[in-house]
Amino acid sequence: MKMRFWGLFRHVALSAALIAGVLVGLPGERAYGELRIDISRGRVEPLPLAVINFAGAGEAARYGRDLAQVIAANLERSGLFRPINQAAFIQRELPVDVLPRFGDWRVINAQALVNGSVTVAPDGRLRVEFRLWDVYAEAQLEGQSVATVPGNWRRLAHVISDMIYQRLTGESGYFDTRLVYIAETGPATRRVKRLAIMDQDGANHKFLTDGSTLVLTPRFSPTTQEITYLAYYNRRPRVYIFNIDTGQQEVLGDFPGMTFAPRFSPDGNKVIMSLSRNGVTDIYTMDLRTRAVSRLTNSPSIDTSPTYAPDGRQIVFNSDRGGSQQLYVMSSDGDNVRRISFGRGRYATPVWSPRGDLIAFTKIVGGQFHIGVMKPDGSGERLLTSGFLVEAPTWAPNGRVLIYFKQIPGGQRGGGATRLFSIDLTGFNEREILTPVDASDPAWSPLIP
Amino acid sequence: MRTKLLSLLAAVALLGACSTDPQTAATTSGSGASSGASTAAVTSTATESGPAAGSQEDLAVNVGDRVFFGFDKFDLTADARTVLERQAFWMRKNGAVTVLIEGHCDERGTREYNIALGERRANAVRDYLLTLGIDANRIKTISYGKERPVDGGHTETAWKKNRRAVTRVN
Amino acid sequence: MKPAAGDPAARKAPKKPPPQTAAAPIAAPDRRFNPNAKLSVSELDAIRDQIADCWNIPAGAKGAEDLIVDIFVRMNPDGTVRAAEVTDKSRMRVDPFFRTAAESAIRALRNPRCSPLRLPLDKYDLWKTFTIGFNPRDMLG
Repeated sequence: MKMRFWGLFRHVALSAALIAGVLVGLPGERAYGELRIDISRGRVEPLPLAVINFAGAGEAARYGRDLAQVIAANLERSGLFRPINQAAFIQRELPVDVLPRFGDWRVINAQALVNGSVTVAPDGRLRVEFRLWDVYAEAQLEGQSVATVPGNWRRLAHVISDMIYQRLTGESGYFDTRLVYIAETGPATRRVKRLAIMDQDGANHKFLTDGSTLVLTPRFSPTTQEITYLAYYNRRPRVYIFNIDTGQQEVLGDFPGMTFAPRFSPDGNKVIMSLSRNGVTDIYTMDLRTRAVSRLTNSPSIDTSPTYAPDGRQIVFNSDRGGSQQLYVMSSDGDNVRRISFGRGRYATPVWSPRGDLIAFTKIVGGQFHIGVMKPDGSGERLLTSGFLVEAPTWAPNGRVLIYFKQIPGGQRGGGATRLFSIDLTGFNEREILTPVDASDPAWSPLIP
Repeated sequence: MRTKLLSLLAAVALLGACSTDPQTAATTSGSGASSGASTAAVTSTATESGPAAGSQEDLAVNVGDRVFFGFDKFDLTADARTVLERQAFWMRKNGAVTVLIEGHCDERGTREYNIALGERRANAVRDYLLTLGIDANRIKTISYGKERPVDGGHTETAWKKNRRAVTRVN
Repeated sequence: MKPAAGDPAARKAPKKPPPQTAAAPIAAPDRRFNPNAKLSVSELDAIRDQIADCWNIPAGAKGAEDLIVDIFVRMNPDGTVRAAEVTDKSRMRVDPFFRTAAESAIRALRNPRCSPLRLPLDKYDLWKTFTIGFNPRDMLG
């Protein structure tokens, strides 16, 4: 019920987005074609922006501060915005019914300004109104009113962050999302691995399994309510589905071998995975409603790490059928297989971008691991980051940020650290995602419905 | 005395498979009995109260419980075949024993590919034991990919030890 | 070394450079003369440098190679911007990436660092109105 309310809210919010007059009208004659100046350079740096504590009385003021803090932190982490220290603010309070003193914000170089007001309704619900301003144009870019139960205030901050991000970049945001990953503890030779989940900013962290069984490679369903993953219950490695709401786990099918490398199809109706048997690894799908199984590849090679394109019509996977591990694309029925990676080294863990334009991958060459992207036809390969071990990229729902894990080797006795990192598609803004313990195999959820 | 001789043989066989460094060989055969018996083969002198026949320790100490593979390889080396031939002999002698072959990889591959590669390695061992006349329903396989290294180090020495298939007595 | 924007040498650049033959006739065939020719290369460089320093490119925008934004500008005689308008207004309404890029371009012209623009005040007639094309392509490869 809670989820449904949010879905509705998002819809209303976006369709009500204001397109205020940023532009100054120009009456009178035109004189195109006179002097023309072309600017092909600019500053590629975070946009300076001010997020003022949302105004409110009593309890509402506390929510106002917390909301502003979460919003500023989200925008800062994106690498595209630089929230200005509140100590520099000249105008200290700005409820939504007051017009900003734009001069005060220009002086501290704020190009955009976010303010808001919070009220606590008699029924306890929080009502938040916020505004996004273009300081130089002295114009409102966005203005919304949203409400929720107090326990949900962080999601409210994430949804507002997404609206600000979208209005200022032209792309949808990714702050109202979660991460599922594998939490790691103990020495390398007796590593304990647990399924863990948290908000994209690290809040609301929770372990989902107790570590008594090895678990690996979790992925979200499109609704974000289920996770498919590999677990070694009873020393039988098989694909499971975990329901986040009920905590129930269910083995997926009864295959005559080891199943692993599971992902949901974009419509959520199927799970695609590998089945290994007698030294041969092929790709299969299982329909979650009918339980019907289809075999998509049939070669003596290792075919694994399959992922659907966002439209569900194609699948990318890695295979050593050509002698070394490379990336291949095929139709969703297994036909029309074609190799797309031809560079030096081995390619693995392909993941199709949610916007369809790129495939991210892990590449091993020259004794180093790399995270890179290429177009679905294999052209335009770009490596974004490298290291002793970097692996398993996962996309933000807007397709412009990746999270992956990095192992920083320890000394002779092993150990070291395994951590999650995010990086922008441009290869900039690499930063660690903080987790309570070591972390690997990240999977980024779609926007929460 | 006979026990000691066999132990040394096992150590030499392991040595050929993984390294020319005798210290490494000792460590490898020592950690071979990873189900609990951790006595290094070369130091085992317990002729009277040796490991119980048909136990994991018996296999590890007197036969050799593991074989090693090249990087990204799953074919059996001559040394690996020698070890497996001794394992087959031992399994015939201990006819009630069933085993689980664990396939493992070093950390220089991606997780999912390594799970498949480990399965290939375990399967290569199983297939060879079958050709040596061991009943198929006495052998099961599992792959741990890169999840269970015996050496947590990040050197070629460690990786050589980790690229292995271990025969585990049920 | 490019001349700095306020460099007197730039301001004293010759009013009438050698006549140009290629540029003008195609862009504005019905004009009697090419006003472009009257701002010196140094003067144009200075203004480009100044605006580039004011422009925060919207990083990573989708289809950046196609995001050329033309802004028509009306100037005050003191070098401040009186009005700035995106020429392709219909695209503003349908393409959020273009709108983002266009707004960033307008912000550049409103940036205090670009007010006033360092233009030769004695040539106001030449830059009373002009068009600026913002093209992030070279920056986003």
